[in-house]
Amino acid sequence: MFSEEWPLLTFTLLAQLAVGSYIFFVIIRSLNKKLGMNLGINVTKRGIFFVGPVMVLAFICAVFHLGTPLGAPRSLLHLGSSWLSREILFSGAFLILWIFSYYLDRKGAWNQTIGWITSLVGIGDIYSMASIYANSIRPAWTDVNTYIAFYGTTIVFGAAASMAAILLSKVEKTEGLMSIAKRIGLVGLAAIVLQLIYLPVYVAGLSVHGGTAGVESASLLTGNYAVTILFRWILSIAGLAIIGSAFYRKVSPKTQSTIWYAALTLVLVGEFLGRYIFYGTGISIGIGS
Amino acid sequence: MGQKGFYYNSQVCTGCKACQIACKDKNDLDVGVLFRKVYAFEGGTFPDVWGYYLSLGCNHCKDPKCVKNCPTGAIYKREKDGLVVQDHEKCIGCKMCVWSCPYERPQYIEKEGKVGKCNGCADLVDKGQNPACVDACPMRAIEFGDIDELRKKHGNLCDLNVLPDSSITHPSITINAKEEAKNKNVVGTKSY
Repeated sequence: MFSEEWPLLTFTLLAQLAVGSYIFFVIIRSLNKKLGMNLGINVTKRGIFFVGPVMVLAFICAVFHLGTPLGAPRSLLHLGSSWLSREILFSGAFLILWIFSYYLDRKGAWNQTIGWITSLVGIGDIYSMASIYANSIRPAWTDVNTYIAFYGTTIVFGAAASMAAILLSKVEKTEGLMSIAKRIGLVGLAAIVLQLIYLPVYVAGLSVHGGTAGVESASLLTGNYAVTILFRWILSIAGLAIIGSAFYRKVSPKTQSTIWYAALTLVLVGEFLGRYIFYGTGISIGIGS
Repeated sequence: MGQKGFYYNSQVCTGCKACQIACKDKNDLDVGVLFRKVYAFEGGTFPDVWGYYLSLGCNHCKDPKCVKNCPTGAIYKREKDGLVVQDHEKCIGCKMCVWSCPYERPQYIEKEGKVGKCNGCADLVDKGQNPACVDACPMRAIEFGDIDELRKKHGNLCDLNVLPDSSITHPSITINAKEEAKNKNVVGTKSY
């Protein structure tokens, strides 16, 4: 059963990577004037490009989740009440708006308003995505935890990617730029701390209000998956911390990029494990349970 | 015409599964795919043992989550009789309905890459006939009709120990069940 969800798991992660990164790039760009020397634009130039291909990849994964992939366009037919329809609409709109904003950027005419609109659509996309799970019959998913987890991953990915973008770019690392990077790192950490604070509330709620399926999910979280959960948080925090610490060390650019790739891998694996646990603990209510 | 639904008499059901097989035959289903399924529960300690069966097809719920969450509109509620039916052509196999039904009724059919479900034998109903499962039952344990009338005749019970809370989807069923199925303090196990 679980193996069938791989494409879906990958889709949510990639879409959250794309949306999170884009939003953080747009925030950095909004500070362009303050930073001076067109730094905000230059430092995010390469990053903005990657958002589109990542989102396309996410779409390809989503299609493979379907038993009838060729019917994918029909998933838009029930916008009135289906969150899956809405998710596809928002994902598509995000991609189209990205193409538009990237095209303007290439022409040297970046439009901040379109950047903000695209970001808002991205936020709507993550909301729809989480709502799909929140409207299922699995107590582990029908909890505000789903929203916290999905937005959490989006922020952590966005923070990691944007810090890395600053680190890897060849522009001068001014004081202003460094202070932004630092604040981004703190936002990323805050997103993790918030999830950690909610974790005990979530597990306790599952055992109390989740019925048999909820209790089963809670015992998976505190039993089989406990060590994985620990690793998941250590990896994400370590990844973010390593990216952050790279700002303060004087190392060669080559070493810097090695550190960056290693750290980003840690964050990716950490978030991947987090999502794996999310799917693994989604126990359905049903007959005789 | 009002909402159609099922009455199921667990007190007389012998667990013969004629309903399940009639459904498989009517819908031409492969091994392992059951639009209607007979479950069995048992418990107690010798000599005080008990057991009962539960036959479930689609409950044609008043608030079907499968209909709400289906992204293509393939699953919909018929206006004239409230039957929850599926336009099989439209299904894209996203399994959203499987994630939505607390009664485990929509079945993902691997071979087709689509989901199939009990349509309440809507084609037969339109001809004024009963769904296949109803007529196949040798004990006459399943009745089909206007759910309000069935409830008037047989009472209104759709919350058993082994069933999900009816407030989730408001199923159009009513059951005549044994005490052990209703008493929250009785713990048993699902045999299949």
